[in-house]
Amino acid sequence: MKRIIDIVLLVSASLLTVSCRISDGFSSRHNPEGLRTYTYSLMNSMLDSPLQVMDLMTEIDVYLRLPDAEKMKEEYREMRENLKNLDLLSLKYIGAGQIDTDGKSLFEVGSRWCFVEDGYFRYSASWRIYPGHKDRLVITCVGENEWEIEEDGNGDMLRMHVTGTQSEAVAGKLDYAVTCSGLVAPDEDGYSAEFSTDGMLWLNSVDDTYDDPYCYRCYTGDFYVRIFSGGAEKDWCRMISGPDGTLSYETNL
Amino acid sequence: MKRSFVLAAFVLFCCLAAAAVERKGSREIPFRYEVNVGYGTFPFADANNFSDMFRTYDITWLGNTGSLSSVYGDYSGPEYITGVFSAEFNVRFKKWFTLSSQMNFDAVLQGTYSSLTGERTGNTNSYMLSVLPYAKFTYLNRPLVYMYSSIGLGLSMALEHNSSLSLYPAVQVVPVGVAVGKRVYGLFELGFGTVYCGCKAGIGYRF
Repeated sequence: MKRIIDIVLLVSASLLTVSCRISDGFSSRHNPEGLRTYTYSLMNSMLDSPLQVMDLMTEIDVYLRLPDAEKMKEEYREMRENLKNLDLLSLKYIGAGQIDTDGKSLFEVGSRWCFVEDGYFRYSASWRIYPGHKDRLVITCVGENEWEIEEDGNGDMLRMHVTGTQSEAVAGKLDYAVTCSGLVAPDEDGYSAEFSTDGMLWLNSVDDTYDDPYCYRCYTGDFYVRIFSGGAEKDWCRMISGPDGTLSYETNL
Repeated sequence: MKRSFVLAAFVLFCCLAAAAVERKGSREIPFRYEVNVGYGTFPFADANNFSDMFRTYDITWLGNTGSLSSVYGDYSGPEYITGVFSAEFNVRFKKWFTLSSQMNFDAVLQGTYSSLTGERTGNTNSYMLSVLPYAKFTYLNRPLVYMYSSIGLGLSMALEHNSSLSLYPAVQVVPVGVAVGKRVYGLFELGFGTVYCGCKAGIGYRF
């Protein structure tokens, strides 16, 4: 009898090991790795995504100016299926959003196109989505193959100057030289950010093996982020993309 | 839906009680009443925490890395489970049939910490309390050992972090249970359900 009870107690004691640590949880992200991840993500949403929109707008512009017979070619099938006229000046690209043109070509100096994202932008999983908010991008042609891109959304701000040059790698496509600045609005804890670029180039590639698998183009140059807490600068991080496509970072941490 | 479930469980309990015939002073049932306390392995809800069988998401993904709160916001620390604590009262109507009422408690404990200072800032604990009547069927009766199977149907009340009290149906099946002892006894069960998945052990007293 005593032995049986001992066995039962032993099993009970063993069960106490079940009351255990089932996960290690997470650790602080306030470290160089956290800053690098945030900087990269911000570059993705503030540069890569608007430039994808820019590409789509130029493709739409080229398509709209084609003769009707040209538009029926197989290479424009996706454009035919997804681009819909809403009225004389407005279009909708299914899976992207609404495009309000001013009736001018996007390559005509003084033209101004507005893009309002509607749902998930199909070209980019990194497009910034705010629940209940539609991001609005305004593209203004300020010179030959030169545009100003502006975005105001949810308190954030982006100002970008883009100069296009004919791509050496892909015929008919433009490479972009990009200069931009902007800010991320303060969050509920009072943290905000400012960002800028220095000598960034966004290049078409001859194949699908992009240097950065999360961006749809090759790019070189610096992307600089300063983070503020309650208005005082707290941290900074610089992302450096080399001509060979390598990424490196410098931070104050 | 939940009220109907509770009502059905109560009706089942009453029917089983009415079907049992009391035999006063029977030598076959030296002790009619039992109380016991036990401790068991993780409940079904907690199984989601660390069983690949139930996991449907990649726990290595840290979620939104594109916000400042991902760097400066609080983070969650290690997660602990308490296991299941249970208390039970049994009425043995016949050698082969017992009615039980059981209460169980378990918790999942996790703290939150400041990314800047590492100091604890709060917790995301959750708690669950279950109440079930059981029908218990004894298929082996010896002077010191009896084995049984049981099924219980009741209600669980969960209090999760930043959430109000939630009610869920509770179901528990015990295919194998063994009790060893006379007046003081030890018990061990293998079972599955919303109360626990795995085993439970405990100690009880008969009177």
